[in-house]
Amino acid sequence: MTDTQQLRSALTKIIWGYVFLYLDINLGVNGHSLNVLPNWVSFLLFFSAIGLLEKEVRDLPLLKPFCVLLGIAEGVNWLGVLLTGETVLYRFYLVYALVICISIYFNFQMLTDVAALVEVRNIYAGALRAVRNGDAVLRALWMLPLPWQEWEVLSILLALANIVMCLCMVGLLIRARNMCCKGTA
Amino acid sequence: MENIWAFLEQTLAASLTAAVLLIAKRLFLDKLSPRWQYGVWAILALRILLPAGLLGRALIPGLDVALEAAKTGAESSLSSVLTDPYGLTEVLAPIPLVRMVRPVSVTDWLFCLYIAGVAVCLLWFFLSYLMLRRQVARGRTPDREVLERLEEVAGQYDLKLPRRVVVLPGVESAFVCGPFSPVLVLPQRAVDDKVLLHELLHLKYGDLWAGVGMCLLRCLHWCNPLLWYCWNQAQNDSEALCDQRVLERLEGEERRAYGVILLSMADDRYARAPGTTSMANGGRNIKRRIRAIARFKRYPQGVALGSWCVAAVLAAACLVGTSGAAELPEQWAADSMSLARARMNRATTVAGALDTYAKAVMEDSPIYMMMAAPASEQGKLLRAARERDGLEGTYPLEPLGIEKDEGVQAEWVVYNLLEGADGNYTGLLVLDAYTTWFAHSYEELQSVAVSQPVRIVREGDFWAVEPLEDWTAVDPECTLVGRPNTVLPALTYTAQVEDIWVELSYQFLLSVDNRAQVDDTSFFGEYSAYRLDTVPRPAALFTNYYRSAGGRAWEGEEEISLNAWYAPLTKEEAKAGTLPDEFGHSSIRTPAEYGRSGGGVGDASGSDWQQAPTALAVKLEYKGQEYTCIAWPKEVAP
Repeated sequence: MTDTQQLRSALTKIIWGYVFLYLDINLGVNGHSLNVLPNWVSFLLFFSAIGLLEKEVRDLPLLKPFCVLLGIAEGVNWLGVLLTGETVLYRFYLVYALVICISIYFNFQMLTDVAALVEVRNIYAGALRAVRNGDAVLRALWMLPLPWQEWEVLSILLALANIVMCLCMVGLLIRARNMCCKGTA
Repeated sequence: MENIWAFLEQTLAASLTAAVLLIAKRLFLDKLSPRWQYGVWAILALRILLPAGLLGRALIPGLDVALEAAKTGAESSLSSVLTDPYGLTEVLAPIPLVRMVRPVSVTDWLFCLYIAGVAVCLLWFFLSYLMLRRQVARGRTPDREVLERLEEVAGQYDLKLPRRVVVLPGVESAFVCGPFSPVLVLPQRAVDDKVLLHELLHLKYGDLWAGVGMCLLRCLHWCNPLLWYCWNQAQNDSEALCDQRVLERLEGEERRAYGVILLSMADDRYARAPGTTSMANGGRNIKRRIRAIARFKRYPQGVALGSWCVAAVLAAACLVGTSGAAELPEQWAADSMSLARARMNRATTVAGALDTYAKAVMEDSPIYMMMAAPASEQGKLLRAARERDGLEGTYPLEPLGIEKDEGVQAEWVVYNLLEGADGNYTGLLVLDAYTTWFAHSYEELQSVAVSQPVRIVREGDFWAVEPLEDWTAVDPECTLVGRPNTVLPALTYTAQVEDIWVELSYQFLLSVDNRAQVDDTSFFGEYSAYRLDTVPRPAALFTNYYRSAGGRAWEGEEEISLNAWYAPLTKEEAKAGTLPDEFGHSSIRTPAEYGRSGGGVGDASGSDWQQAPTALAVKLEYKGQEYTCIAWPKEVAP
């Protein structure tokens, strides 16, 4: 595989990873609502992409342990829902908070590295960085102990912002991949 | 912190935060910069300064229940003066609050020991600082060229000079001492410019003050080794951050030389003193700092916002925690955790207190009663719950001829609930067995309900019910006690305008909708039915109210007939003397008897009225003239 093909493959995996991470399609299984696009698949894809890109971006291998940790956490949650109908991790508040910290860092650093990768090829990545910032702030905001149920309007606005953010992120990643790998199938 | 249990709660919360921060720091060791590594210790400092359990939130749900259970287990056989075995442990302040009482129990003495430890620790830090200052005072002024070099370094990096610079024989490495008037202490041997830069940077960024703060926090939790370990780490992180700041100002070979200087200090002794910073802080710490320097260029760049977000989530998790409402106990549970849960679920609303009380007496459950009883009753109820005894006193439905073991349920409603001058409430609690029992076996002239006058008293954040008399059967004439009637009493509101005297009888019923929908399947298919929820709701609000009015009027000595419109007023409206612009359709023609007609409103999220009106705005129409006035309750009694 040439370098460009490898880059294309890695970016495609990252795009699919974010699709799996943000898109939830829930089906009723054993009376529970189970996500058929499980988040742990995202981390398998990210792990594979990191392996492909680690020679190109110096900081990317630092994310490998976090990728494994988040994949395990998501897998445990998914299995919990499948077997008992409850997400196991939410029961342990402090562990859950640590997982959120890791996921904020992971996504932030992953997008930072992708932006750096794109910029090396003289392609503007400012929009990707802006989406990265918005994503991190939104993730942190949701963890703040605010009365979200009472602040319905704000909750809806944040949820909408989250959806817009996801669409932008996937769109920008696709654009970045196409520009980086012009002429590669 | 007023007792040893409050200290335990506080130090446990701090320890959990410390553990979370240590894990987070380990996870992000090679990923986030020394600024972040040092900055997150502010979360631990804030955690120690914020009372644990603030706003009813906890770091680990259930931990507070375990602590309460342990406290009651230990304290119920002691007679501590500092701890109420049945009250809730509350951290009022993050510092020990000294009460001038003679300690009696072992836990009292332990708390005294803790306070003494804080005092000794403070004294020890203070004395060691004083001794150091005395030694520093004996130091000599350095040579002119040393001072010139120091000025040069300060000028080159735009840093302030310390008030004094001294050379102290016997000192192994340079350090800064004294947050108020900082003194730079130098060893006798020549000191490198980079070491001077390091110490001047400590001064610039106020690290001396941070050190003083850490010493004070050490004193507050002197007996917690985990926190001492954390503050040691924090001081090392402070040095590592200072190294980072030095490296940011140096170039190329100078950076390598700085690392060599640090290495040369690895064998130096490290004597920690409050209000000082020292570049040489022990061999093991120096090794860690050298590893941090090796990572200097490898920290991922451009992650400032990300690291702030991570810190914000950590802070939110460790400082605010999660809503830690304790689960309700089982009706007949007797284990110490369930008993603790009962005490932690004491009623927080008037409606909640009445609901819990009514269900406790119906279920004959001491553990439920603990949630609605005054503090003075808690010990007795705890013993009854432990021994699985029932409640003292007669079963409420006994006056109706119903035995406890028949398992009859009853709905409750409170009549004429009114706030007294002391802020407590009185009302007539009525248990209605008609809908659940007599509907099937009702015979004429048989009572269907019982009543009991009650007082609902405020105890801190909680409400407790005190029965004022025994349960008595309601007059058999009344078969529907859940609606206004002429049998049960009403409040009397009186007013006088010129020589017209009005007396309004106002019956006001409040209740909580306790029906719970149950889905079931029978031979004919699925169906839904309602049953009464027998689990207490200690934070309930009144969801339904009914009202009915009657009244009489006199002109002088002579009773007269007139039209009276009335509108209920809240406490604030009554105090302000606010009369409504429109009186609406609520009216009577005197003389009229209450309970004949009336209206009601239900709102599942809590009705507008949570007590009987403080007063009634009244409009009278007599002989073609209109008068308006405010009628006040004649008496505050059921």
